[in-house]
Amino acid sequence: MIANPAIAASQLPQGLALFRRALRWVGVVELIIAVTAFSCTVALNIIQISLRYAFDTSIWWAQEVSLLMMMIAYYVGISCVFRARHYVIIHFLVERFPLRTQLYLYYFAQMLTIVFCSVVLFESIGITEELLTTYTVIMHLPIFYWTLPLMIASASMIATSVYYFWAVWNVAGRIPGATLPSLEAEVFVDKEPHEI
Amino acid sequence: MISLILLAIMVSLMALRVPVSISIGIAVLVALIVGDFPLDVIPHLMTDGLDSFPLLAVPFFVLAGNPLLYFMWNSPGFPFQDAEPVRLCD
Repeated sequence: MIANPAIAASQLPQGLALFRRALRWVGVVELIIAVTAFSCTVALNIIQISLRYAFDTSIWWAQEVSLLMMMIAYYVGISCVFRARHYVIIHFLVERFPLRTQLYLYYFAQMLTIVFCSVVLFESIGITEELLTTYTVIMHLPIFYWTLPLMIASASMIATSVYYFWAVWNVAGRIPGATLPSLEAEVFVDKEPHEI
Repeated sequence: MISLILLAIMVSLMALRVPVSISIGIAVLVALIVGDFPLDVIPHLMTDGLDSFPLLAVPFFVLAGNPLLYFMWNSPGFPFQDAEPVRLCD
């Protein structure tokens, strides 16, 4: 006998649970990378401003490295935000529909995300050769490094959407009286291990 | 015509609970396909749009606001000390 259906629903199949654990660890690594990149940018710019105003000198590579670090922070950060489901959605129209319709629309949204991120990823891979042979003006770094965070974020967002599609599909119908946000919360990637 | 397609797809997808960023991306994707533009401009546009030094001011501004708000909030006489901070997300 199942005393609490919500707890029963959180018992995901082994493959899905493993997928969630893998995504969770990827998320932790991404967050560390994003925060490190942002912190480095802040530190570098503080040093640059101090040098310029107090010592009348500057670091010649500061601008390019700052921009590269910020590209990493932006795109890897976007991937983290997407995994934590902190993006902007308009929910008030869809919440008037029955749960079944909401679920179909949710699957549709995940598929669109997969399609868009796949296009970005494959088009980025397609221009890799051109990006590897084009260099920046100051440090002569390949432009490829500016696109690499975008590729990583796209791949990560594809994995996240596949997970949520699969997981919500798995728990839908197992929790009586559930709403779409509660179903999504039930399979949330960033849940603490003791909450699973 | 392409502008109309862009707008219609973006608004429809947003109304169907597709994340706003993905709605904009899909609308642009469809507009590029309809307008017979090469799709490899998408990664170029996505990186070039953010690759701007003045744009660094935005996250720095937000970052600068955090300690400022912290010190203001904890200083005596701050008028909104009892107010609940705004929660953007749960």
